[in-house]
Amino acid sequence: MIDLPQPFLFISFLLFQGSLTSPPEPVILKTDAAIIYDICFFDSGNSLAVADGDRLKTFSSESGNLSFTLPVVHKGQILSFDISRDNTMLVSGGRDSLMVYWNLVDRQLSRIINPSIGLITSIKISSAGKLIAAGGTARKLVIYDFSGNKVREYNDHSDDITDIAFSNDGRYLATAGADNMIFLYDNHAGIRLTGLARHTRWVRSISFNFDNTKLISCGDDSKVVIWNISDPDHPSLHSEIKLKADWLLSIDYAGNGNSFAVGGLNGKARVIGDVSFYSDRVGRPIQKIKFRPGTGIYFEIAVASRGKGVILFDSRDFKLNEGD
Amino acid sequence: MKTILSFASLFFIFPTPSFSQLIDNKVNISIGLSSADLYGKEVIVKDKFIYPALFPNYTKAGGFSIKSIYKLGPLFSLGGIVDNRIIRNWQSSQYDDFRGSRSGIFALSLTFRIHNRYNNLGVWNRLKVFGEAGPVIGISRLKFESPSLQISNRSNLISTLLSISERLFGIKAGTGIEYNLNKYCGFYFDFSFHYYEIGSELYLDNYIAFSQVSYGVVIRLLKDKRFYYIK
Repeated sequence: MIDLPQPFLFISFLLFQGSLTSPPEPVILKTDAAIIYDICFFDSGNSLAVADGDRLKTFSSESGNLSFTLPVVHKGQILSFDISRDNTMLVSGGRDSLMVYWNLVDRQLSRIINPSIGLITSIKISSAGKLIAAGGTARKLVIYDFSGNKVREYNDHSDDITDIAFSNDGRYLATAGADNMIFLYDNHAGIRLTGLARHTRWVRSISFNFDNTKLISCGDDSKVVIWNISDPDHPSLHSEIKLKADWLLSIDYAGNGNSFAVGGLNGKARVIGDVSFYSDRVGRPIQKIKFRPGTGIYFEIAVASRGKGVILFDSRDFKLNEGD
Repeated sequence: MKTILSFASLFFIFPTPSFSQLIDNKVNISIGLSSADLYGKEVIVKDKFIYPALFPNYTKAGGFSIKSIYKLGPLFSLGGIVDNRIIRNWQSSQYDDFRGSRSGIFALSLTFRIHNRYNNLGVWNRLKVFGEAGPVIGISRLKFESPSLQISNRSNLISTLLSISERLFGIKAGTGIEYNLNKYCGFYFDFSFHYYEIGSELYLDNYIAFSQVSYGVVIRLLKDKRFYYIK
């Protein structure tokens, strides 16, 4: 099972018991839209970008204040976006079916591509491979390079693609779909490695762990499935957790461990480790949940909700459910 | 009825701050009670003779209704309805022909519904106003309390008639509202007009016309999985 660092557990426990300080109030970002579809931290964790309707905004992760807004280009809701690890580039996609490249250095539009994949439901940037992958309602996965040239296209899913994840070294790519399937690709070889079938309903979200040995997935069957992909050619089931009846819409591995955060329609944000889990009620369905990078032994998460905008939680906001 | 309406009005006046936003549904099932008022003249004149009408002289009508509605698109839904009504308390100032009788109307209908567009936020996230119409087929079963007619057949045997069933067909149209309390259930209220054609050798009515009020619970079965694409 997954290991949670012992100092993390100990300090968190003390904080949760209220013996050090009273918990701070969660920070709610001032967004125009009440329903937020995607969020992404900059690599340092100091800023958070938000898909606020048809525009992209960045906020300070500390104060929650608005930093800057990118010009409006999309003609409709932005459903997904990602930021390159060097914080110089952002790509976005949404209901207008367009992929938009942004230069974050001068905060200007750099390129617009129509990949013809239907509504773009997920778009991700590979850190090392200099690749951009996008999937959509037309069941296609397309991979572009940073110059806007199409590198590859896959048609493995038989229903909407719901999420895409690159491994942290950029070598592997995983896609989740409404056909209950996950597909794993090797970007170096340019081939599909395998299909992972375990979910019985829509797979909504996937995430690689920090050392790329595990892939985690969640979906409408209320299951969290952890895959062992130490040998990506022969992935195997590591473990499976069945949570209370809920569509689990988003999952994210912590950047420095094997704990993960998961949220769904019932508005409960959970951070799950090996021997304990932490939970907090957002009060609105959770569209996306992300760990803030660079927080050391503590954890902070950002939640994009359906109805309450974006909320930043400190670990002290969470209730410890030890041994549950 | 007043209690139900009072309870319902609370949700309209104080719309939803304490609830999560709901995901729209693909399939709903509604189960409820109905109460009807029948229309028509007390008597029917045919060939200069006057006969008592059957259906307009019933004063009490009620039953239950089960609907299953499938959402076809943002503004349209299609569904099937099973209605069962008992009509009783036949009263006429001049006649006693059908006194003590009761009629049951069992009807199946296909309904085409037009409704407001689902909204991700606000009151239209939970409230749906709709109009619907569709064809109806069914059976009317008239039952007498005691044998009131005697029929002689060809072999001169006398049989008594306690009940008779007739097929009917017609249309219905109505309007109503649905209010979703949470992701599992809600309630509805609708008002509809029904016109069925019918014929029998025991009575001269050739139609049944009535208005009906129906109310009950909505069970939300299948959520729209592509909810995040909805504009």
